[in-house]
Amino acid sequence: MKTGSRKGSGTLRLIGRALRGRRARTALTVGGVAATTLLVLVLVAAHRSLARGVHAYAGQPGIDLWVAPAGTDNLIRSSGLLPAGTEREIAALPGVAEADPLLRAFVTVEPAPPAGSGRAPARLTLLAIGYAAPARLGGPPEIAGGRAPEGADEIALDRAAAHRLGVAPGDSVRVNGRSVRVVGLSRGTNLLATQFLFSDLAETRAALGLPGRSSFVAVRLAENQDPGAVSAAIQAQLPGVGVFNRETFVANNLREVASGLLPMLAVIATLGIAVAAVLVVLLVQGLVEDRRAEIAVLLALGAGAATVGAGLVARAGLLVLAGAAAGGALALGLARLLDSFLPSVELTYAAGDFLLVLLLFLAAGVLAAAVPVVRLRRIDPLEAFRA
Amino acid sequence: MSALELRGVWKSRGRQPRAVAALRGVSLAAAPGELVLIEGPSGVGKTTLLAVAAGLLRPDAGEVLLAGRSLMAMGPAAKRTHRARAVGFVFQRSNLLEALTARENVLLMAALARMPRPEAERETGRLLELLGVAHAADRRPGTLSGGEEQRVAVARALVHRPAVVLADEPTGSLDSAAGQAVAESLQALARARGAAVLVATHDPRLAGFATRRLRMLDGRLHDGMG
Repeated sequence: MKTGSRKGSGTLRLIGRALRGRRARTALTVGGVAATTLLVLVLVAAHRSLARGVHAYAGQPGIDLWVAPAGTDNLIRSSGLLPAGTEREIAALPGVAEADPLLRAFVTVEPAPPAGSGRAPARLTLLAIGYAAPARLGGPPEIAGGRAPEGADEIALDRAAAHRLGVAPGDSVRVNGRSVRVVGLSRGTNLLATQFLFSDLAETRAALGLPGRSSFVAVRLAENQDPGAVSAAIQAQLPGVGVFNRETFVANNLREVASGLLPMLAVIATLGIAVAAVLVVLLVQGLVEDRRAEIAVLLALGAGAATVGAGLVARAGLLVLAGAAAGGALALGLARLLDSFLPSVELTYAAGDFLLVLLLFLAAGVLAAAVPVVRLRRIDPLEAFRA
Repeated sequence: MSALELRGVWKSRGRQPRAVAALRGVSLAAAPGELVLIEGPSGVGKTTLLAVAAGLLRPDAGEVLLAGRSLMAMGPAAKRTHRARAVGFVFQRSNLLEALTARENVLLMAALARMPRPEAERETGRLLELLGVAHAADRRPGTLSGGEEQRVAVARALVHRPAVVLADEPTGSLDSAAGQAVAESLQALARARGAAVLVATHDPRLAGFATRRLRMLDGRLHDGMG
């Protein structure tokens, strides 16, 4: 059985090589597949970066429960506020180790313009999180440079936002018109459409004119406490508030950030795969036309149309694999390049993404190659005698 | 037993009502080691005869026995498999596959005939050596002379030890020296391997290599020239 299969693969290999196309056309196809693979991988990576940002903040291990105002189930799109003193009531409940208020708001950030500069400074709208700095719940999940804010007039910024603003730790920026100093850069806090900014809660409350108020309360449970039981206790104590465990809160936020973006990414990725498939169709179609005489000879010698077709499909599959692998390598290179020179565009890959995209392209390429193979039936082996 | 036998074969080409009878009751038997020349001008049905003998065309009437098996009883797949094992082809132009080396061209035929790889490698090397083209084994057809190409084609036709070699104007595109060398090789190697060779040609230089000469005219074979 094994020997037969080896023989078969040897025949297919030789047929595939015998029917290989012109170098320029082959190179164009491989290049096209590489480019579309790169496109799809970048889209997948962009989505993964987004998800990473959500997981990094909303899914940080220190927070077991998120308490939100009635009708709010996510951090991204919410406008409600909890009654003053909510965190104290929660902290007093059994099973709660820590309950820290968070105030979130969109703020406008611009670098302090250098003296004499006539240029309008870059301006960003960022998602500000006021938390009990520097070490209580809800602060930056990871500091990439500098440190977390420690009090008034200090902020930490997502590093991509800092890059876009052209600021670094030590620089001053204006947040809603107020001058503050950047003391740290955070990582994993880039949601593509916006980025996070972290500031001291008291400062944020004062700046927004919301003394004592909070948007959420982040809760850490005491050891061996059942999140369900504590959640029920919070809801009993504070009827109407929403209480979410970490997984649910992450899922809610992912839904919010991806709901508009995901369909568009899916459409573009599908188009990318379709373009690769069309390239393969054109390549194999060209092969069948260019190599008509050779195919007639093969059929006359005793090769079946199915075997010749399989040889062509195998050849196309190899080219797609080569193109997809090249696209994967380009995607990795691009991510490194962006990380060094343009950190505002963050690409996060997973090994599974490469495998999935490779398989998708391979499947599309093999299916596409099978379309022109149907034309093999029109080739008469007797053409070998006329060649 | 004949390596190839055609009994009362009729074959029309073209569509009704303009169909023309290319073969009219052709009967022929070729024994192993025999080289039968089918002579005649272009368009008399020589190539049709080869195509019917190979099972590439199905006769309208009559019987074709290839290596002792009737092609009429076989389905397309079985016929194709039988052809790959029992027939070797030499075309007017070598019809070698350009993208493969000379050696790979020969190996591909062996693979199609499902010959075990080590044996195929051995036979390929031996034939290329015997045909004087071992030096060109790793070269592509485009870099070979016409005579070398045709000798590689002879190796391809014989590598799987077929019962029958069908040659269509094998020397048609060669000069006399190259044509002579190809004809000699084909005759000697086919005889040594016990293959019957059917050569369709109008090249008179091949007459000296034939064990039997038949003339084809108006779809009929006429004996008595050899």
